[in-house]
Amino acid sequence: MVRGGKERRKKVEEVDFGVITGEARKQVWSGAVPLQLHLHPSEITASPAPPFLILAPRNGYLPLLETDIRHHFARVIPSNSDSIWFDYQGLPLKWHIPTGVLYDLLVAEFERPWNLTVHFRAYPTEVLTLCEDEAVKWNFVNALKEASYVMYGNTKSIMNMSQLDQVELWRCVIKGELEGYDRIAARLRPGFGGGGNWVRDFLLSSPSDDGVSSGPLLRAGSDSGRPSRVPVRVYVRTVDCDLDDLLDAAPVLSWDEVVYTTRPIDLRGGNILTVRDALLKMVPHLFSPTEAMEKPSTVSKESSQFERPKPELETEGTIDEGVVQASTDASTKAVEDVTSSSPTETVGAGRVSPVAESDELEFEGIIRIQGIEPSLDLPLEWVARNLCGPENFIHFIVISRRLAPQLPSRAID
Amino acid sequence: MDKLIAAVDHLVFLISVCFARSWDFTSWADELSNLLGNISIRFWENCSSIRCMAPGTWDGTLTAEEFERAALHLVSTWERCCPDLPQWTWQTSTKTVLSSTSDHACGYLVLQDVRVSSDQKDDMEKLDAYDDDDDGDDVEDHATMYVGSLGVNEQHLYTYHVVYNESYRVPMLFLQGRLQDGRPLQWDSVLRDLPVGSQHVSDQSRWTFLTQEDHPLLHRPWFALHPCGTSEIMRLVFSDFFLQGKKDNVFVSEQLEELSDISAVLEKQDTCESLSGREKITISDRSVKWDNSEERLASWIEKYILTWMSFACPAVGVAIPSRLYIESK
Repeated sequence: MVRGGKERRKKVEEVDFGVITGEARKQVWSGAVPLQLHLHPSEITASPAPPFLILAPRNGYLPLLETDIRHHFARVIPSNSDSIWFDYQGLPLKWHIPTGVLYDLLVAEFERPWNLTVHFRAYPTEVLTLCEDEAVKWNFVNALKEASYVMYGNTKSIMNMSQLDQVELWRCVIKGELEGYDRIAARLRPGFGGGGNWVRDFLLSSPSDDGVSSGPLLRAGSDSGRPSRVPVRVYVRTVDCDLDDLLDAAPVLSWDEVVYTTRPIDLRGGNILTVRDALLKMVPHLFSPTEAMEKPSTVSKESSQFERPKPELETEGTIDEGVVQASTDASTKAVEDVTSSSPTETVGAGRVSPVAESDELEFEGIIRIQGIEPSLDLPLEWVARNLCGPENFIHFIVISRRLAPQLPSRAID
Repeated sequence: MDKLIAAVDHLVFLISVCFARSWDFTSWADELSNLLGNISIRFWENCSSIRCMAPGTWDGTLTAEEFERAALHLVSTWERCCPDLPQWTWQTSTKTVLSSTSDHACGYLVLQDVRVSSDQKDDMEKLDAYDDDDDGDDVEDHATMYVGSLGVNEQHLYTYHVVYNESYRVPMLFLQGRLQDGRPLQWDSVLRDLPVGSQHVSDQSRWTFLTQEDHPLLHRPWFALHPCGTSEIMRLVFSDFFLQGKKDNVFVSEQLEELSDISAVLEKQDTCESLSGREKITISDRSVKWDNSEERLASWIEKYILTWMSFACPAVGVAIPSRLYIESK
């Protein structure tokens, strides 16, 4: 990919997305994190038990592993055990955050298997919300409703789901069955029968097509089936060491060190098209002008970092290979589109100028989605469709370097 | 007037029910949804006959900027009308990397340490202080329970936060309770401190009415009223406000008449009885004629949180004095 020149970027043709979509989503849904679970010493009532090794689904939740864990440690678990909870290097893990997000956020550099400690007593109620009965399922359902509201302005499709569909949907999420999930999820998208490119439909539609939606007082979207916002959760962690050598990063000791929030991205106006645009909106302080970089070697180093995923991450599974290939295909196709004449060229040209401004800014951080560091030029719409979790949220993990006090001119605010 | 007061009572109940709509579909919820649909249809039928007065299609949401404006309006109104009560204050968020952009809420409302009398015996909280394996504390444990059984009233301290929800674009009510010695209240104790009607709704819809979740700014477990029904409720209430403006000095609007029809259906619900004792909300019998819909909406937006509190706060036992609404007209 050529960097530096102001390339015009076009949307990838729908048919190509069809091919990429199928492959990428399968990889995301089958993604797993290898865990090695150690029973906390205070829990052991007999001879030490060997650690438990299990592959945890990236888009699942830690408490869903409880049955297998209890079975493995049955001989040594104290009889008065309580709710299960986990910690990583002393940090209690929030169970309502998907397992893959916790791993990408808290493990700065390669660690495989991921070593966690399991507890069955002394639940830290000051830090972790209760997790009893069907709390995990309802956490998922509420997230699904929230995403539905962000995209369509209401939660009707979720609220009106039949009992049968509810049970089946949750079963598919637990089992990681993509096809079953898609069958039910298709019924949850109002007016979305054809599985078309919803962002392009939205951007290309004229205001007269839907007078109600274009009204200035309608902010949350409409029933028309064209999402106006993208559900996004962003997690920002700062480290003290160089981003090129994260092995020296200190572990996260408290959740106060991590900033995480829900930050929906509004697509109306058409000025947010890529991952870069979304990051510029969410964490603008991590972008700096290219001319301001004093060391050319730093520029080339960061440039190479964006172009090539870290070798360690490649061994995580086939996720990286498939999705990186999809990313490459998307970028290649975008280049080819420049030379071809298509009906969307005029519209695309009209939107290039607002985006071009961000080309002059360099992103000073690491972005992770589903365990990969994607190209910043990846279309946000493609990410929303293929790299989101089953609850329809994109989880952006941003790792940035803590700014030194010696550089006051670059201090935040 | 009595008919109106009854209608308002049922409006409050209706809103509580909307808040508590369960994922599991039930027959009365189905009926309620149909009625809500009919109300919307009738509203638009009326609206289409009003020339140049339609306010557009406001969806009941706020921008972050409007949230702050409405919150500051609440603080000043409350301070002026209720100097004898605990005060709501506006707390500016500590600056973090994610709050540096201007189009996101930069603060939230706080009502600190409100005393709630509780007839509960806080045995569960006290028992937490003892290790189950420590047999030496058995005697002391029994003594504690004995003292509790004397029926001494406990004072629980509750703190309430109103935070802007970025996804639903509405205010969201968070609460946390603690004992006077500082130990936090657990789910069961908070539930038992709720008004009887809310306890009933919460039992039926545990996961969609009042839930424990991370506070979006403090990242600690707090209890929260689920916000997914708020925008629809506020849209309906605004519709009624709009109709009031149309009929100068005509107090009972068609919208409230519709609510009276609903009350006939809802009278079968047991929860109605528990709401009948709640403080009446007085509505001014004067309405001001507005020149245009934009001005009306701007005025309405300023009172958004004030209006939203009229049903959200009583649902968790926080009284909102009626004089707030008389003087804010």
